[in-house]
Parts: sequence; C-alpha cells; structure tokens
Amino acid sequence: MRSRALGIAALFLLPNLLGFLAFTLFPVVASFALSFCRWDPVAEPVSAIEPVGLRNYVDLVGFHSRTDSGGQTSWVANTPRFWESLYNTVFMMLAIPFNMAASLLLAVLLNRKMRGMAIFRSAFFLPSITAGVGTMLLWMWMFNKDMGSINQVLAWVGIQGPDWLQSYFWAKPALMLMASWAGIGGVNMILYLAGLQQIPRELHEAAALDGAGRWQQLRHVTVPMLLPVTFFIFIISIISGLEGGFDAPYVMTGGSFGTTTVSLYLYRQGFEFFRMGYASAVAWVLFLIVFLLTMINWRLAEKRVEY
Amino acid sequence: MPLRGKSFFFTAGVLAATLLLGVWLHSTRTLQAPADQRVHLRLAALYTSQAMENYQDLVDDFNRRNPDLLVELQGIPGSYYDKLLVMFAGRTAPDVMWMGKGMAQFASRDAFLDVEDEFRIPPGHYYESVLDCYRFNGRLMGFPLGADFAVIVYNLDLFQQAGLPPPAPDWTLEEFRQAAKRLTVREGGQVRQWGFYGEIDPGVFGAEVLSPDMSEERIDRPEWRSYLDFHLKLIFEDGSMPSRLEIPGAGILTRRQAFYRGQAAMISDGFHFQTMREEISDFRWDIAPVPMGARRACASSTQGFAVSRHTPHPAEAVRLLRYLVAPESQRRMGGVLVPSHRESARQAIEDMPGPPHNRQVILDSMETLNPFPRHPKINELQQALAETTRLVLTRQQSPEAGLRECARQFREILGRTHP
Repeated sequence: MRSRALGIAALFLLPNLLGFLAFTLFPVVASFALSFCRWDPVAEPVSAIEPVGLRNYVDLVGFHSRTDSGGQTSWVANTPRFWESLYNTVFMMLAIPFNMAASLLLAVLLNRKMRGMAIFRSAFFLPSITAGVGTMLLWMWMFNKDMGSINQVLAWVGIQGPDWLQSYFWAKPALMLMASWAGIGGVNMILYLAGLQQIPRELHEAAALDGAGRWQQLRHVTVPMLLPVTFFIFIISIISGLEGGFDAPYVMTGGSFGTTTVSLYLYRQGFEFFRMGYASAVAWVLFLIVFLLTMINWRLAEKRVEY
Repeated sequence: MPLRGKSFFFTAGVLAATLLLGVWLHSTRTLQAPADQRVHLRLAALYTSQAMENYQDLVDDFNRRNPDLLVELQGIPGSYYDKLLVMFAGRTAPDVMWMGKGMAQFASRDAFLDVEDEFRIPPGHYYESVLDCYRFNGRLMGFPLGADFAVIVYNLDLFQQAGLPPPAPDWTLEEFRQAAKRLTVREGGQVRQWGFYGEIDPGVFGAEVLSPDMSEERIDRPEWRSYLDFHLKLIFEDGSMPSRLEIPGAGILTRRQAFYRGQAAMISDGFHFQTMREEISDFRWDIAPVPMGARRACASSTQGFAVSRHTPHPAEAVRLLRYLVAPESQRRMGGVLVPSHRESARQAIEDMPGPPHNRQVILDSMETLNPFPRHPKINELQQALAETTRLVLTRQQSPEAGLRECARQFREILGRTHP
C-alpha cells in the first residue's frame, strides 16, 4: 500500500522532475562546464567547444601589473568593466535597507482595522504587479529633465532638477528611486503584514500596561518579533538585488551613465558579443558572490534571529 | 526517501513510457513529411506589421511559382538576433533569414552560405557601397535588399520665416551650423524651436573607426575630436541642438516627433518619408544632403537576406534568396528602403509621391554610405564608441579623455584573441 502511494506520488512528481532536469539542472551543469571553455555559438558547433581552463575566470576577476611611463608599477583589473558593473549593482543595492524600513512602516500603517483598508492595501501593492516596461516608460517621462513631473515639483521649491537618466551621478539614484516605488508596497509589505498578524496581541497589551508608547512598542516588541521575516526579506533582497537589475537599465538608460549591472553585463557578453564561455563564468562568479553573502547572513542570523 | 521495489519499477516504467511516447510522436511527424513531396524552407524575418505583409506577399508569390517548394514565413518580434543566436547554437537556424544590423556579426562568423558565385552581377547595376556591406573577404555572404541612411530633413516654412534659402546641395558644415543658429528660437530663456536635432556622421569630419585591414583603432585622432567639438558647439555654444541624445530615456520627444511638432527645424533622419507624409500636413518640408566636410558621408544601415550555412537544402534556399532580392522584389519593398539595384532605386524614387521633392539627394546619398566596419566584434566596438559619445556630448567627460579611454577599449577589444 505504501509503495503504491509512493509510486503515485512519484508519478505526480515526474513532470516537474523531468522539467527540472531538462530546464534547470542540465543548463546549470552545462553553464558550469562552459565557464571553463571558449565557445562562439554562431561560429562553432558544440563539438568545437574548446577547453581553456581557468582563463575566463582570470580574465574576469584577475589583475595584472602595469608599468607607466614614469616607471611606477600598479595593479590593474583584467576587465575593469566587470568590476564597474559589480560596483553599480552593489551601489543600487544600497536602497535595500531603506526599502525594507519603508515596507515595514507601511505594513504597520496598513495593519489597522478600519473601513476601506483592503483598498489601501491593494493600492500600495499595485505598483509591484504592473507591467515592468510600461512603468519604466512612465518613469522615463517623469525623469525628463525639462518636462518631467519630478523636476517640475523640484522647480516649485526652487531646485533645478538634474538630467536624471543622462547623468553619471544621478542615473543610478533614479533607477533606485523607481525600484523603491515598485518594491516598498510589494511582496515585502505583504510579508511584513503577515508577520505583524502573527505577533500575539498580549505582548503589545503587556507592553502598554508597562507604560510603553507606540514607538517603544514598535522598537521593543514589533521589530524583534519580526526578525525572522526581516531576515528572510533581507536574504531575498540581497539575492534579487545581485541577480536582478537587468530590465530597468536595459530599457531606461541602455546601460549608459554607470548603470550597467552584472546581469546586463552578462547578457551583453553572451548574447550581444557571443562570448558564451565568458558569460557563463560571469554567471558563476555572481553565484559565488550570492552564495557567500547568503552564508555570511545565515551565520550572523544564527546568533541574532530566533524562530 | 529512496524508491524501492515496485515503486521504483513503476516510476521507471512511467519514465520509459514517456520517452517512448516522445520518440513515437517525433517519428510520426518525421514520417508524415515525405507525404508532402515539396521541400520545406523556413524564412525568418524581423516582425513588423508592414514588413510582414510585404514578405508574406513575396512568399505567397514564390510558393505559387515554385510548386516543388513550400516556404514558411516566420516573423520574429523583438530580440531578433538573440533568437537567431539561439537557433544557430542549436543548429536549428532558418534556411533563409532577413538580416539588418546583425549582418556583420553573423557573417564574419561564417554563419552564412557564400553566394558570390550564385549572383552574376553586371557591373554598375547595383550600388557597390551597399553590396560591400554583404561582402566578407571579398565574397558575398548574403544579398542586400536595400539601404536606409540619414539625410537632413528640414522644415521649409521655418527656413523662410528665418529668411534663409533652402540648403544648397553643396552646403558646408559651417553654413549648416549658421543655419541651425538662425533657426533656433528662444522664448523667456527657453528654447521653443531647435535649429537641429540629430547627428552629423563622423565620416563627414574624415573620422574612421578602424584601419582598412581592421587591425588598429583610429579613434584617438583629430578627426574624431572635430566631430565631437562640432556637436558640442551646436549643443553648448550655439544652443541650437538639444543635449539629450536619442538613447533610451533621453527625452520625451524623439527627433522625429520634435520635427512633426515644429519644435526642430532640421533633423537627421532616414528613409521614413511615407510616415512623414502621413504625419505632416501643416508645413512644407524637404530633404537636403548631409553638409560637406572633409568628405561626403552619411550614416547608413542595410537590409537583406542570407542563407544559413547549415541549411539541408542549399540549392533551394539560394533559389529563394535570389527571388527575395531580385529587382522586382526590391521595387515592392521600395517604400521602406532604397533598393540596392540602381534601376529599381531610380524607379522607386521616381514613383514616390512628394514630398520630398529633392529626390536626387536620396540617390546621391546611396553613393556616400558610411557603414560601421564589418568587424566580428562590431557590437562591442559600437557600444564602446556610443558610451564615449554619450558621456562627451553630455559634458561628463572631456573629448580628450573620452577618446583616449575609447581608444584604449578598442585596443583591448581588438587585441583580445580569446574568444
């Protein structure tokens, strides 16, 4: 009876298993193998893939010494563009703590019992489910130097707004601002809302009886009780921050003005410059960074987060 | 929990049955094909509604004339070259495919069949400048349908209002600059009407991207400096051109929209005259050649077709290619690009309703096309150059520093033998 149940379970799992093997595991293994090879998919068949050892990785993250005309030797990255794209990606991730704090605040505000709250919740969730490119085009209008609504608002208070999407200084903050708009009221807020509703009411009541005000309750009851949720959101945000950031620069700036992220860099190397082995190496270096950061986060969380 | 006994065999049986089913389905499809005696060819093209209508007409006509062949037109919307790349990687590329700006990158990688011997081209019948875009190591790796290029489109009414005569056929860069200045109108400190919105091709300044053998960069040179300086003067010294370049996110108005609204008196634009005729009704407009500098040159792009090197039906695919790019087919496509066949181009331009009236500009421009060098790393080189131009023309980098950095990147890209 038990083996029959197992068999049926296996049967139900089979389509997913086959899909996983074909569309996830095989590409992952293939890309790992490819990262040690040189392959131009248009010029060469799969049979002509040439192993190059660690060369892609050395090209990507390695350094070499260079002596200038004054005889001074310095270390220079083999591929400064990769490091630049990594810097851009990490810079744009600086918005994560702000977004998380704003999501929490929003969730606290929306965790009240009052008429029409469902409408408010839906309204704040809406940006995260609207079509990406459509909203990007809208933001491109808003960021316009001369006619955009953002600079018009700034002009009312006597500030001359910058050319947001064509400035090396402002293009990254502009993309971060748009990402925050879409992210604050999104899944993070929903997770915080769910977390808030799990906190026993007695804890707040006890704190109130002890004379704790709203701010103290938030600081000493709500935030500690939400640590597991916060940790989860942080991990997911770090991962998606490192892996994401493709569509907005691709659509809004074309990757110019310091907005090329690692994922956009990877796409260009593979699909525009036909360097499949090198692009695979970029993907694996990115994976390694994500993996290490996640491990560090878990280690830190073990000490601080209680479930 | 590991599978044991019956459940293991059951699962393995289901797996095997699934595989068998797949094999059977595949084989029945393969077996059905010979029942249809015709050779099946796949033709891929970038999907745009107007082009697809034209291509479908051509394909239907070809199928009627060639009962032994059946061509299936496959329109690919967006990310065209990404999809071609994946198809080439999987060796499932279409037999014949439309090619635009990606021609150099694919052809230089030997993706296409050499068709040099399939076309007997009588001397002088085709624009050599256009054919050259499809020649690699002296061999035709496809065939161009025609070309699109940038000319100066101007608002004749605004010229008259500014007391300017229409541009002369041999106007110089300085005359162009003065006209742009005169055509710029300011109101309350804001520009209401720009004199010019666009770009003058670097070739006009004598700038070259690579050496003739494509082994060395030619970026950090005075000609490129002149090109950048000229545009910087238009933008910041004269204030006759907007600083926003046409890149994603650059601005609300594209140069064409600005021209339609009378907010730009001149723009550099390609062969989109049919759209312009539909959009513009409240002012008179015409075209002028790109102003004369160190030499005549205009930015250009070509469109054509190529046959996959991996096609199982090379002879039939070449037959389709010859039909698709034949002068008669080129004339049918004459509304969206200038045919590569001289006589077809002349006829298409003659039959075209006005405006533009100064149509000789179109035919003359075909002789001065200045395409980007057909290097295998064309995309990387173009990206590096575009980045530099954007940074310099928004004054976030000096021309000297920009060109120096761009030249360094070029050397790095050209020097990299791997991959």
